Amino acid sequence: MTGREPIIDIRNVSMRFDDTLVLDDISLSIANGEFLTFLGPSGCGKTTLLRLLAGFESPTSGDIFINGQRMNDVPPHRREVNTVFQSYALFPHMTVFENVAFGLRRKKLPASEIKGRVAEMLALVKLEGLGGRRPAQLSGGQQQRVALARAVVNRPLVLLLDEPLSALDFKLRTQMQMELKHLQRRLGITFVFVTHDQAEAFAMSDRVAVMSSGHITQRGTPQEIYENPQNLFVASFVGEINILDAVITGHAPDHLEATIEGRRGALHSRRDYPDGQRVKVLLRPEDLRLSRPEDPEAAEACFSGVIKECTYKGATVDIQVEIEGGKALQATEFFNEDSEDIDYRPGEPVRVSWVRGWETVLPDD
Amino acid sequence: MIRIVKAAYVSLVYAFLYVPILVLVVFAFNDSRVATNWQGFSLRWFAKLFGNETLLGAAVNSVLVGVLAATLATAIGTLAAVAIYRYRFLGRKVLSTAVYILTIQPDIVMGISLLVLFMAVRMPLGFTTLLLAHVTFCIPFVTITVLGRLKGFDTHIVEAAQDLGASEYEIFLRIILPMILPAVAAGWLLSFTLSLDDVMVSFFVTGPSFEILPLKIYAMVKLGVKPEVNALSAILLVLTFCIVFAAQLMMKERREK
Amino acid sequence: MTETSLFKRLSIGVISLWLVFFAVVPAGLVVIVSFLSRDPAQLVAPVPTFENYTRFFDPVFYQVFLDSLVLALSTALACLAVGYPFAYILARSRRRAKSLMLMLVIIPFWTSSLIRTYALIILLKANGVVNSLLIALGLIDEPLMMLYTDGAVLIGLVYSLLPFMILPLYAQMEKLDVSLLEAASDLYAGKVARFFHVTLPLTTPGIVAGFMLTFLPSFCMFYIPDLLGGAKTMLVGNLIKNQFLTSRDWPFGAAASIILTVLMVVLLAVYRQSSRRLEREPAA
Repeated sequence: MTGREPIIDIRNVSMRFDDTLVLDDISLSIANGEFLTFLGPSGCGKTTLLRLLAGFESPTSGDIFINGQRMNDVPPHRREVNTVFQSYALFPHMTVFENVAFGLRRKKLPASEIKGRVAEMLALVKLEGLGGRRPAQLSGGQQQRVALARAVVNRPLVLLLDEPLSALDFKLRTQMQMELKHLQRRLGITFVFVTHDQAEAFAMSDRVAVMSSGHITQRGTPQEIYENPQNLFVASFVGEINILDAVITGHAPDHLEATIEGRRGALHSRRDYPDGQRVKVLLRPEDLRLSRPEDPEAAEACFSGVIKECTYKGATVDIQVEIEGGKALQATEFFNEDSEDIDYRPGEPVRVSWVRGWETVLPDD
Repeated sequence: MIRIVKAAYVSLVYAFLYVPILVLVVFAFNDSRVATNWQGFSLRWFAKLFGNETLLGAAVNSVLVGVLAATLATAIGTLAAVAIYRYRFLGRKVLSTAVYILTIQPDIVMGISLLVLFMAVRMPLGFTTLLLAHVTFCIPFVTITVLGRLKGFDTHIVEAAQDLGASEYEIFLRIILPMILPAVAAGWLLSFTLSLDDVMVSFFVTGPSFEILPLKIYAMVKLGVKPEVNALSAILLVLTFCIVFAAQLMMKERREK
Repeated sequence: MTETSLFKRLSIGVISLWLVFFAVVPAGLVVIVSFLSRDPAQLVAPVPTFENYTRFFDPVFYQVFLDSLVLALSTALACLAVGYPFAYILARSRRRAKSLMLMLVIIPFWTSSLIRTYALIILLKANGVVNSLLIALGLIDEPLMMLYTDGAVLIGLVYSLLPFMILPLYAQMEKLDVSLLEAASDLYAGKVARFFHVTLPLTTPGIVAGFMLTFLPSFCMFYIPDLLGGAKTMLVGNLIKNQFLTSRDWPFGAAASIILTVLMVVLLAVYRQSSRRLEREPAA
């Protein structure tokens, strides 16, 4: 998809544990140098997929190619990929230096070269001078860096990262996200990352594959996935979203006419739907526009409703509106220097509209 | 008030457990033929003990069997624990259940089954049969001790080693063994005490050609209280205390990483 | 992970072979022998029979079983009565004291029970420590006959086996989440209700395990009645020992040991049931 040759090629891979199908006919190519993230809720199969790439499991059916070679039955220690584990899995009885040197020693590199590469690597992850410590003497963030250094020092073709940041606190996590991204650019190694946190996935990845119950439900750049979710699962898993019920009632030259939550309105969709089709209309909170009944733009608004609650968030205000028919919508308004009029009070009547064309229409199934 | 009752209760139970042992040790140093009258401190029973060649011979035999049985059982039991922990294989569940059953199986049942086995294959009772029997009842204790330690580890550690290019043998030698070493040592020490103290199994599987201490003591005790038995028991008690204490320290060390 | 290494085959193979040779085969042989006939010259004659099992209904042996059962039950219950409060206090004590207290239970657990039984003789015999003490205190004139009684055997069994009750109970109580007790109190359970509705059900697997580790050996520890009971009290253990070493009736001894094994299997099943109930996942 990036035009470069694939370093990993997953072809029709299925995985079955006892009676449960964990991965169902997955196919995906990962380009050399790409930062790809598997994003999905727990139990969706993303970690299993990563373990198949690492070689800890063999697929029930299908093939895995790494660098053009079929790897299905190649054990982990013969693969040029390395893993950063969620729990770090540092060897407790070895020092930081010994941990990082472990893989190089298995490759029987000369001691002087090992020393040089480990030192270089420790410097890269900002752990100079801590080589003699044991894992238990390090903070969580430092352990995380050792785990990273221990994998990267082997110069793998692909680095696999299994929720490596989940044990860190929020601030450290965002900082590490940036560092990982920079490290990846600098080394040019392909990163395959697994997470359930969409903000983390979007912050780092070139491409995201959203997974749900053993399938990849959508793949694309973070922007594509956020703005054009292809189904309800993706739409609601990545970020907050309002879902409205609608029925198509007619066709106009540049839009579809529809009844949306009982009100007449216009929908813009790339796909065509026949009259009478039930659809879902998806709107991000930040795409909704609120206005007071007396404002000029209120005339175009689709819904009228009342403010239920305002939550101050710093740069934004989250507003909950109950529209006619009783449905609650979530809207986000940004503070703006020259407008002070987003100061709504609960119970106040408002009109709700959205930026024309920013809605996503999906069939109701 | 409740605290005093609790303390009193706990002390009473400890007294029940330890007073008989302490009395035994004290009377080992009693300069009297009649065990119950204190006649002053003496080491003469220990001296008499060390002049008794049959007892010394039995002691040497016991230590020999103890060291060999503990070493063999530790090797086999440790490998078994690692296999149960690491590999998925047919019969894994059966194997681990069998190991647990062996620890609670009444000793006498193991004793007579092995006796029947040795008779069936016409193996003369003596050193070899005793050693085989002791290895058999020590293995499960080693396996359980080591398995307990293995279960405390992050399973990803082994995968990390595989990922970094270690072969099965290297994983055992460089990752697993160093991590479980305290438990392996504790397993050895516990096996040694088990072997040194065993009466029930040994009773059935050794012959007159190979005498060991616990059976000698049993034979002597049947005839009544004797000061030199006190001395011998005192030595064995102190030895066991030291070994168990050391084994416990080793197993504790891991919890305070 | 399709690569079966030599190491894997070795580690699984050695233990499997050992258990087959020294546990499975001997057990099988005992089962076979228990269905064969006695032979004075050859020990065992290849004539199949059920007689070794029907002989347990002979009043003499029936009585041995009944006496053993009563003694073993008394021993297990006495250990439970003494051990339960003790283990509870132990599990609730402060960290530092706890490891020492625990160590003091573990040491006798591993110490030769023969030597500990011998220590009891010194205390209990006619001119032993207890009698001398009582006479010196003027409480009695004549030494009490304590040794060679059923009571002495019971004390001996409890003395040897108490740590085997305390340790599993303690292990189970350690797992008991204090917040569960707090939740019970918060939901208006008094001390008694809290004990019967929360503590007791949650420590049941420990009770069953402790029961198993005291009840079963009580049948078998033949040297305790030998030394403390004179030769009056007879346990199943003594019976088996005699069949194998004195009266040379192996098939009968084998049958007796099979009955003990069946008893163990039943207790194991009870243990599995009781601990499975407390697991989060339902039984497969």
